[in-house]
Amino acid sequence: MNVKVLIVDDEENFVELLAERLESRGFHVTKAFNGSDAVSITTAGDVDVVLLDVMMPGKDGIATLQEIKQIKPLTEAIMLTGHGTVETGIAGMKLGAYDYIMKPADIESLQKKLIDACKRKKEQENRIKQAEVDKIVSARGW
Amino acid sequence: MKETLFMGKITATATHELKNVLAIIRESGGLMQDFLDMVNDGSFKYKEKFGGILSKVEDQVRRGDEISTQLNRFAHTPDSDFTSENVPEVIDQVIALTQRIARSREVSFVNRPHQSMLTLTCEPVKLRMLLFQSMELLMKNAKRGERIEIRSRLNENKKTFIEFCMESDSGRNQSLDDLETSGEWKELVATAGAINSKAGLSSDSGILTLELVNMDYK
Repeated sequence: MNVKVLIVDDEENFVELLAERLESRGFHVTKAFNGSDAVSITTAGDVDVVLLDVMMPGKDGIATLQEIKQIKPLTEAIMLTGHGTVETGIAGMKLGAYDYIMKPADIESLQKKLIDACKRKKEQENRIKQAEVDKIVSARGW
Repeated sequence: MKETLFMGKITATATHELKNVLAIIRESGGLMQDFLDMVNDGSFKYKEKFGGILSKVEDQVRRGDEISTQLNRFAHTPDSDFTSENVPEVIDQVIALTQRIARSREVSFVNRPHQSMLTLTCEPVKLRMLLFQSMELLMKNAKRGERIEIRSRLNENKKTFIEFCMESDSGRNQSLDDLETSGEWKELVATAGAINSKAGLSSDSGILTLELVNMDYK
């Protein structure tokens, strides 16, 4: 599955290393080191899943998630949490995030969550396309 | 209380940073392992050695993660004056955070709750202090290699009992004679009293018992 991932975290070393590991596993990775850049990248490009750190200086994970969901509602998000921020990860899920994962994350679990999140996005897109086709068919009386 | 909150806040923040440090170490080790896995033609003679080292790095990340998680929860303890606690989880936390002291005294603790969920309404900092004081007292008086079981249960009167059972390597219970006159024991009894609880010693059977009651904070 061709999954386009955007990693957002202010810990640049972490982002670079994780990006390389995910790329070697076939993911297409884009990087952002703050919430504002993440919103711009998502708006401009084609991102399936945003891996979003909860605690960032400036625009935090929740505010970033809210903006992304407003602009691209079908884009999935997985919240990256530390131990003190699990509640925020859960709050993110209430705002539409697919899931959350604790740092330091296990690569296999992360990989699975990213693929599952992407599958949900594709299914949702397909359902919308099908609904549009059904609408046209019904309007034309075919 | 202000001081405790301050200490807790700073510790919690630092443990959050530690998570980031551990995440970077895990990803660095993971990336090295990824590269190592690409060499399959036997051209790198240290592949097995490197793999072993990376596996130790991963084990230590897991260990650090567990300690930092428990330390973070501990640091949040003073956030509430009264709270509902799951006693077996609190015992796990105190065991995890005192591992180093236990290891240096060659003593080990095993958490054996009667039920996995045993809720107690209490002052969270004092509950941890009481558990730690009990463990420290027993560690000081334990033989080398002693294994101490911590059994927790709820009795029919809804009182929570925590029993620290000392069993030496030979299988015989260690005597707790002379402890009752020590200053540490008096301090422990005072901490128990501060949360309306009791502490008792059964020297013959080598058991220290804490009897805890739910506190009414309304």
